[in-house]
Amino acid sequence: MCRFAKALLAGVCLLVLPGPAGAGSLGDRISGLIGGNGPADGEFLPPDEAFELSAEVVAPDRIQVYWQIAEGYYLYRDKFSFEVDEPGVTVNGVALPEGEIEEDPYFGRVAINTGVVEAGVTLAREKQTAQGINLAVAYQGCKKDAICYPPQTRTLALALPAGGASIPSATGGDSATGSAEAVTNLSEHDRITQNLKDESVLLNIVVFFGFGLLLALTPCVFPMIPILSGIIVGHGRDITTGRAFLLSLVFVVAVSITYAVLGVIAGYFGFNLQAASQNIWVIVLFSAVFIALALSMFGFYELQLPVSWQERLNQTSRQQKKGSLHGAAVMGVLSAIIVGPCVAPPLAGALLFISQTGDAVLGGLALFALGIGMGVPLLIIGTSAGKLLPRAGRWMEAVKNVFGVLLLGVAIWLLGRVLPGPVTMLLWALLIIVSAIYMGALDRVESKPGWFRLWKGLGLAMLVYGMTLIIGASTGSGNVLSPLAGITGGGKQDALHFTSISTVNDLERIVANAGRENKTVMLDYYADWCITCEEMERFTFSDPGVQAALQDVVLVKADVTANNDADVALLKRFGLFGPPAILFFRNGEEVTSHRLVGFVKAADFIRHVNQVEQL
Amino acid sequence: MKTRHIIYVGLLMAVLGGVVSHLYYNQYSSPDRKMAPPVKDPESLEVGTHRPDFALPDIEGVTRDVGEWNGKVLVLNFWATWCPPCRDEIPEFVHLQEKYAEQGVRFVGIAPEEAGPVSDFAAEFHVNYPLLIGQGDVIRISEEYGNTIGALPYTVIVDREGRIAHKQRGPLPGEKAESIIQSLL
Repeated sequence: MCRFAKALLAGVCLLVLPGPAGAGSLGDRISGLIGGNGPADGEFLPPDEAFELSAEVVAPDRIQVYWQIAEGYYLYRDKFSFEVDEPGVTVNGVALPEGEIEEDPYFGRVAINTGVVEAGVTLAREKQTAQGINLAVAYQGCKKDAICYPPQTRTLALALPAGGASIPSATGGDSATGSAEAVTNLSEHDRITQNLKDESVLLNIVVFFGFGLLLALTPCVFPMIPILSGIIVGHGRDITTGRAFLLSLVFVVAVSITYAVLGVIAGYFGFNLQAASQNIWVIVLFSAVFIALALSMFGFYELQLPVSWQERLNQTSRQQKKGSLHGAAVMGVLSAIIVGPCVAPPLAGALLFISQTGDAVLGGLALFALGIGMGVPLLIIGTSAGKLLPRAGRWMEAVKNVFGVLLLGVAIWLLGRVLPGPVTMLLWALLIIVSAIYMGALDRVESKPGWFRLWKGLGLAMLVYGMTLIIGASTGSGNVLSPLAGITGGGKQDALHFTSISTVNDLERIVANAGRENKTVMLDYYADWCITCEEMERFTFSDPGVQAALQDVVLVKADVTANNDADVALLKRFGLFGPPAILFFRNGEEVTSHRLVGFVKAADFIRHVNQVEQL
Repeated sequence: MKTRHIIYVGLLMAVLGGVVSHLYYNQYSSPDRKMAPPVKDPESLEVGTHRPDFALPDIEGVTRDVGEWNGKVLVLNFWATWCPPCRDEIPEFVHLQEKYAEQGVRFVGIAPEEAGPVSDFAAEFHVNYPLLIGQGDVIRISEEYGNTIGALPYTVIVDREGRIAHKQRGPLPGEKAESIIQSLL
C-alpha cells in the first residue's frame, strides 16, 4: 500500500479506536470539546452527571459497571463497592482499573480514577435459572480542588440470564453514545437473534447461490467459461461426458471451498454490527466502502488483485496437467483467488456482509453456495459442450450494473441505522427510481423486441413505488413497506394520548388497576431537555404502526422536567438517573427485561410492544 | 495509480463525513448529559428567608441547637475530612474566627462523619470553633439550607436576625467571606 493510504488508515484508526487509559477515542474527545462537556466554569454538576453510571450484563455471572466521569472530576478507587441483595447471589470478585496515584496532603497517596471507568463484577450464583437482581453500587468522588460528594449509592435492576447462556449483543435500543443503559433486554434479543438465525441461514445460502450464478454472467467471467472448460477437460477424443462432468465438478468444488474458507475467516474475525453501530463512524465507513465497490461495478474504475499477482497465479495455473483431477482442483483454487474486476467488488461486499454478522458457519456455507452458483454455467458447458448456454452479449454489462445497484442497496441499508427514517426512504427512492430509468421505464418500446417491454414494465412499477417512497418521506414516514400509511389515515394522525402522573402513588394506582383488567401499562419518562425523548415522539410515537400496537396499552407519562422532589422520587423508584426511559407493567409489576433506555425505531418498537403484550 | 488515489480521496471524504456527522449526532442526540437543566437555587431557601432550625451533637457528644447562636453573625460551613477542598479553607476560617470573635461572629463546622476523624483534625489544625457531626442528617440539613447537589464544601452565612445572607457552593475565598461578614456586623 502506498504511504498515502497507510497514513489514511492510521488516521482513521486513531480517530475511531479508544485511546489510552480508557479515556475514550480521540474522536470522542474532540466531540467532547466541541459539543461542550458540561456547564460553564464555576458551576458544579449533580453527582449523577459528574459520574454517569451504567451497567451491562455480559455473562450469566458477570456484570460490567461503567462510570463516565466528567472532565475535572474523579472517583476514589478504594471507595467502590458492589452488593447484591438477592438470596443465593453474591459478589465474589471485582476488577477495577489501576487509576492514577495522587498525593493527598492529608491522606497521603490515594488512587483515583478519571474518565471512563469500567469495573468487572463477578457473581457467584446458586440458581442457574434466569433471575432479576438489584446491584447496589457505591462510589465516592470529588471535583478537583472544588467540591466533594458524599458517598453515593445507586441500585441497578439487572436481568441475569440462565447460567451457560451466551449473550449475543448485550445492549438494547439504538442510542448512539454512552447513555445510562441500566437494563439489558435479553429475552427480546435472544429470541430475535435465534429466529433470524434459523430462517436467514437457509435464505442466505439460497441468495448467495443466486448471486454466484449472476456473477458467472458478468462480462469478464462469462466469455471465459468455454475456454476455461476446454483447459480443464482437455481435448481428447476419448473423454467421456461423465469424466468431463467430474473434472468440472472438481474444479467448481475447489473454487467453492476456497471461497468458503474466505467466508469462514470473514465471519470469524468479524464483529457484531449491532454493538459496533453504537459508534456511528463504523457504519459510515462501511457504507462508504460499499459505495466505492458499487462505483467500481458501474465502471468508474477497476478494483482487482494487482496485475502482477494475477500473472503469477495464471502461470502456475497453466502449468497444471490438463485433464487430470489434481490439476482441476489446483486450478480451481487458483481461479478463486485470481479475482478479476467484475468479481472482486461483489466478493468483497459479500465478505464484508458476512463479517458483520460475525457468523463463521454462515460465512462458510454462504460463500460455498456462491462458488457453486458461479460454477453452474461451467458445469453445464463442460457436460453439454456449450449447447445449452445463451450467447455472450451486451446484456452482460447490465449484470455488472445490477451488482452495483445491490452494493448501493447494502450501503443504504447500513446507513438506515443512523439516518432519520425519512432520509433513508429518500435514498431508497432515489436508488429505485434511477434504476427504473435505466431499465427503460421511460423509453419508447414500439420497435424493440419483447425483452425490453418486460424491463420497461418492471421499471415502471419500480418508478411508481419509488415515487410513493418520496411522498411518504415528505410526510415524515419512515416505513419503507407502507410509506403512505400516514396519508391514508386521513390527514394528520392523532398523537398518542398519555395520562400524566406526578407521583409514585399515581403510578401505582394506575398499574394496579390495569393489572386487574389484564392490560399493559407503558410508562414514558419525559423531560423538555431530553433529546432522545423528542426523537421518540417524532419518529416512533408518530408512526401509525406503533399507535396501532399501543391501542390497548394504558399510556402514562411522567414529565420530570421540573426535577422536583416528586420527580426525583419517581426516578429513584426505578433506579433511574433521568429520562429517557420507557417501562412496561403487566399484572401489577414491571417487566424489567423489557425496559427501554434509549431510542428505538418504530419497527423494533412495535415488535417490542407485541412481545410485552403476550406475556 | 490515479484511480487508486481517487478511491483513497473518496474514503477520506467518507471518513470526514463520518467525523462531522459524529460530532453533530453526538451533540444533538446524546441524552441529557449535556442538556440537563442548570442547577437552580431552590425556592425553599432564598436569601433573606429565615434560616431553618436544627440540632446536632458536637465532637464532645453534646447536642448543640443552632438557636444557641441567635444574634450572632453565623457562618455555617458544611465540610468533611475526606474532602480535600474543604480542609484547605479551614485554616482561613480559623483565622477569621479569631479576628472577629469579639464582634459577635461565630463559625460552625458541620461534617457528615464520626467524631474521631473530626477531633483529630480539630486538634491538628487548632480549630477554634464548634464542630458538629452527624451522618445522613448533615446532608439533609445542608439540602434544607440550599445545597441541591449535596456536595461539599457548602457554606451559608446568616445575619444577626437569623436571615440567610449568602449561600456558597464550593470553596469560599477568605476575602469574600470577610467582606460579607463585615457588611453584617
